[in-house]
Amino acid sequence: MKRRHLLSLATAATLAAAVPHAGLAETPILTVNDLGRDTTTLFSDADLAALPQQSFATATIWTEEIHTFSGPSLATILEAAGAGPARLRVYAINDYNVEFPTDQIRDNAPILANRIDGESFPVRRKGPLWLIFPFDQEPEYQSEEIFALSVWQVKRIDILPD
Amino acid sequence: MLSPSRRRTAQILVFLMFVASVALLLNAFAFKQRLEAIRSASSDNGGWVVAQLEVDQKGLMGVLDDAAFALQSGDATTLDARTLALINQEFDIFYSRVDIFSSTLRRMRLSDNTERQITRLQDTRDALTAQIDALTATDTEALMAFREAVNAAHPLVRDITVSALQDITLETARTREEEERLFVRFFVQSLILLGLMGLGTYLVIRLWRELETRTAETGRIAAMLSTAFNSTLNAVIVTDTRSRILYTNEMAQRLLGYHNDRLKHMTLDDVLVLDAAEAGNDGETGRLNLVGKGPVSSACRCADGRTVPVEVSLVRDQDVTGQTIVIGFIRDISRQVAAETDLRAALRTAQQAAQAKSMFLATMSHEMRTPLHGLMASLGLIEESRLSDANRALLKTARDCSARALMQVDDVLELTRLGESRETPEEFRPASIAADIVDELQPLARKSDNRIELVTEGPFDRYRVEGLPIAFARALYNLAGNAVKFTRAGRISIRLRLEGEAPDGLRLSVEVEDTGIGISLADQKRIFENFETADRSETSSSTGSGLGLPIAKLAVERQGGRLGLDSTPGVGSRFHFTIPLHPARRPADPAPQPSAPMPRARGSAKQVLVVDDNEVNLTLMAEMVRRMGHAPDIARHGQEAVEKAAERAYDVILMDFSMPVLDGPAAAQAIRAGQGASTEAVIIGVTALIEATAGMAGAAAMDDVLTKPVSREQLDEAIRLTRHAAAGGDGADGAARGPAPDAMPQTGAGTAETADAAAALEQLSGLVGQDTALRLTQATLDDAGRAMAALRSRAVTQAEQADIVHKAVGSAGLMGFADLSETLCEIETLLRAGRDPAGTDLPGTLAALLAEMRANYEPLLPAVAGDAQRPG
Repeated sequence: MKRRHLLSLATAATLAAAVPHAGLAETPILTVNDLGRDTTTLFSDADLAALPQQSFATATIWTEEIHTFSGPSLATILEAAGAGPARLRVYAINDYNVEFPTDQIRDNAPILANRIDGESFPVRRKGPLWLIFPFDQEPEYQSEEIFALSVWQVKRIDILPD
Repeated sequence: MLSPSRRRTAQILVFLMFVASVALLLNAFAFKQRLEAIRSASSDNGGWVVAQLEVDQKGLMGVLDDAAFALQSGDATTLDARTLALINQEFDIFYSRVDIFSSTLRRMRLSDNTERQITRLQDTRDALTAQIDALTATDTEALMAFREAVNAAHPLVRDITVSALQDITLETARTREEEERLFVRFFVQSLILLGLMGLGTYLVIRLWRELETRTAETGRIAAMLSTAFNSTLNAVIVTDTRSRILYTNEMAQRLLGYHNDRLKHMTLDDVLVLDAAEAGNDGETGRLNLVGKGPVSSACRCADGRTVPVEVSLVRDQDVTGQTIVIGFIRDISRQVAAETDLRAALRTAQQAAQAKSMFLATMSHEMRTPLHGLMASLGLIEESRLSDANRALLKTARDCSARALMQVDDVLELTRLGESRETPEEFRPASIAADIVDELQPLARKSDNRIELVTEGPFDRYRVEGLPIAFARALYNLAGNAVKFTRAGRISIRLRLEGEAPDGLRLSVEVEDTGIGISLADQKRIFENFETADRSETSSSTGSGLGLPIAKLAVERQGGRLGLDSTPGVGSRFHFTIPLHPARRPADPAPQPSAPMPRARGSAKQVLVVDDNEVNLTLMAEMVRRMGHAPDIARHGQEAVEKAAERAYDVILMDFSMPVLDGPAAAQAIRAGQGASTEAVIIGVTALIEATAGMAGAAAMDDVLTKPVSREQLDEAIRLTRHAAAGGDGADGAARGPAPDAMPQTGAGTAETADAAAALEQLSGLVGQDTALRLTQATLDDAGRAMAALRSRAVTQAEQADIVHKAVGSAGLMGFADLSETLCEIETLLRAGRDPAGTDLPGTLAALLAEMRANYEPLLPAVAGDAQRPG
């Protein structure tokens, strides 16, 4: 675990080196396309950190222990992108994508976590953004449908037109 | 309300339902938990994760191949930053995929092989990580080496993919099996629960049906009660404890005439009228203190102001809510009251009718005494010495029968009107009375082939006893006659037993036993009831008069005994009684010989004055006195008697009561009060009317009163009395005070047919002498003629006519002119009743009879015709 952590730090340094002109925090890491209005909003890590933050501790089926996940809620991001709850399609870096139903967008869940235990996390550790639900809080979140919606390595969100 | 078994069923049902619900809940919860456990175990899609491992490795291999191709083709000698970043990103993706893969797979049950391979995969990835982290854009060798290492890892990735997929397949199968087991278990549990629910449902249905049945039954009962409540003949009023009316039934509304709504605002006190005493002082409860006192007569005040007599019964009860209520049952008894009134009126009418009947009987009996008097007097005057023995026996029977007839008339009189006995104790001979009765009944007994026997036991010869001979004869005659009447070809035993030694302790036991039809137990009491209350039809059909046994009973009771009866229907009857007797208080007369020649007067002949306005009576009485050896003198009315008594000292004066000029009692008073010669004479009243003597002032002046017809013995005894009889030690209290039918009466020959008028006249002449006979006959004819003249006369009132006719009735009766007497009697009855006999054929009959008699007798009466002068 500790070793993996060190590795992630190294990767971040490499990436930072690859983009010399832009600060790491200012690099857009999330693109939100409102297909209906045909607008695009870019979010850097700082943009996301500027949004109201949610935080909860939970175990996941993909991690060994309980971690505290924090970041803005999906609803907040959509609001920041000038949209309300809507049908979404979420894209990951690994080319995974999934349609996100409107009714799963709640005020405080899911969140687009950009910190685990207060630290940002790299791609190797399913970062930098992980759409995550408070699995331990609601048993209903422990279902395959929700697992399928829990997209890690998120890079883009398309707001689908009605 | 529910029976214990039903209650248990309901309890079981509730318990079952509870258990079933809890079980179902637990089962469902357990099922959900297990299902979730199974589901959450398979969490993410294992197949996808496994497949993505190879995809991501291929992606990495792809970017590495592109970079290698660019370098080998010489397009570039170093890697550009973008390619390097891409390679890094693909590796990072692969890197994270291995983590995902490991953690996902390790949540499943893995084969050892897969487990080892995962470890190898992680090792390989870590090695690759070290290589790529050391990679620089210029170091193409290292890049190529890294590419080789990635490619070399592919078979491993391939193997691990395959084995992991196998594991996942197995895991899925296991999960499915587990789910299946879970489902089966759930199914079985559900089936059990279903069974429980089915049982519960069955019980519910059963209870429901029972409930429905009970509800229907309750409804029926309620309907019936309501119907009964409303259709009962009693008015029912339900009140609270303050007597306010709560409910009433239809009958109450009909009785009181109020509508139910009105009644609900009234109290019981408004409708019920009670006596102040019954209502008591308890103002609050009012009528309610009658609760439990049973039916009380009261009255209801109705809406229309009427007051209806009712019977009220109040009971206390509790209604369904436990409130104390009072239920009043009120019965309209107005019809009953009216019926009672009617009954009382009917009873009064019946009593009046019975009284009228008694009056009639008494009057009739009384009227029969007059002809009987004549009959007995005539029989008594028949000269026995000239008769043959056979005729003398017949004469005796005739005398006995006439005496009995008179006794029967007296019986009726006694039972109907006169009630009390006038007989005083005197010496008698029970055995000889019994013997006479047996003799008398012999002819009747022979007719029915009966044998009568008389058995006497005890010292009858030793004691002279005193008792009530008339009552004794009556009792025995009636019992014996009764026995003969109801026995055919049997035996009637009469047993007399004198018991006791001491003079004061004598008892006479009498038994009359027969072998007749007997008397049923039911009839034994009833037959002693006299004709006024006994069933008329029955008594008349069985015993004729219906008086025999009641008279016997009364007679026995008068003698101080009690008549007993033992009887078995079909076997016979035994009547028995015991009476106390006293020894005689004076020396016995020589044994009376009923059929002996006329007794002569004992002692010196006495001077006797006979006073009567009726010529026939006067003559008969005087003749009797003369034949007794006394010296008769006659007076035709009270005044004459007073005058004669003043002149001459008579020993005895026989005084008729009803006479013209001066009646008997007044004359007796005058004689007693006067200074004449006969002041001390024995004055004996002679009357046809027994009751007429009672209360008459003058009767007190008389020493004794005789009732017509007067027997020879009575007359004899009366004449023998003196004014100082008691002082003279004569023991005169035995004087006969009425007819003495048991003794031989004076009777005359009563039959005088027109054909043998001459013979009759001759007979009469034999009794009283020819002159007297002729004179009496003439006088009788004259009386009848005067009666006829009076009937024809307009100047005479009906009352006067009746008196004149009455005189003729007496004369004709005495002389034995039966038809004439009868006809005259009927005329008198009509006159007394205020009716004119002219409208009937009676005057015609009378004229014809009189004409016939005159034709018969007048040739025989030439010499005396002129002497028949009589005072008016």
